[in-house]
Amino acid sequence: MTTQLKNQQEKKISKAMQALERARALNRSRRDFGVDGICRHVRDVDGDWLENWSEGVSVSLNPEA
Amino acid sequence: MSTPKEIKSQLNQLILDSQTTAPKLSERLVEMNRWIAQKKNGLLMRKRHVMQLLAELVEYATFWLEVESLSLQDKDFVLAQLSPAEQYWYQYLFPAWFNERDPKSIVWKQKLMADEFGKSDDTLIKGICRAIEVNGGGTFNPYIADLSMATDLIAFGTKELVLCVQLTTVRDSLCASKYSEWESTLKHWQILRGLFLSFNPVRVKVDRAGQCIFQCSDQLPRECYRRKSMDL
Repeated sequence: MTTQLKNQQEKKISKAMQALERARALNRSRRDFGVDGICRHVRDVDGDWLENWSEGVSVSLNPEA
Repeated sequence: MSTPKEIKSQLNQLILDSQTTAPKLSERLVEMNRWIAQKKNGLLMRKRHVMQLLAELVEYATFWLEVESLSLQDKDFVLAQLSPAEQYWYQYLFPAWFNERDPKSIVWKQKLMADEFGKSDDTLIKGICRAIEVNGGGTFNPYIADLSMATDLIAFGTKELVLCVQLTTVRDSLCASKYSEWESTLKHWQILRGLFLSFNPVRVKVDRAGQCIFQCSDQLPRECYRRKSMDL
């Protein structure tokens, strides 16, 4: 395996493990605090994000979504 | 800490990233995105429900997509880090959720936006999960499994056999339709092992309910839907 490929794989593993840990934290938080626990993981949950949510899915064309 | 804007951006990225490798996942995430966009007026509590659901889905999808793109050897390495309940979730239930039709989605989407989900179960589930862990087992409780799959928690005991558990109070369980609805939901998702546990939280301590689930995880047959009631 080339170094570049190895680095790529390591990056993927690291990204997966980070998502796994965050998912575990979110599970524990809902179990321990109910949905109120989400405020410990996401800032400004009670803000106006829902009102401003757009359907756009193109990340590059619609970064403000 | 993330921001809602970052979660939205991650969701968008996941929709694009999964388009070719997992089009069904992409479609399901687009569907979620559209549903949220159509519900503009947000009450405080519903925002927390929706954000909890979204934040979890983003992590599940990220993990799933990354693992799918790994070599077999690396995939085995990562999957070995998961608990039995997590393995069942990521390898079976989560893909089923985005690949299959979700017959309960209309109901849970309406309930979520109307904030019709009470908080009464929260402390019970917390105590029950802890009791299972103290006994040497474990649990995983994805929000979407609760909403779509009638599963409050995925439990396992010392034999590491997973069990999908629906908790209900004794009074609720008297309603026969609740049990048959639970059974048909599990059948739909092809969940092989389920426990419908009704108990009286006033008379039965959560430790005992946890102990019961732990024992059932080890003792029930590999394929069964079982109903248990703990009133005393």
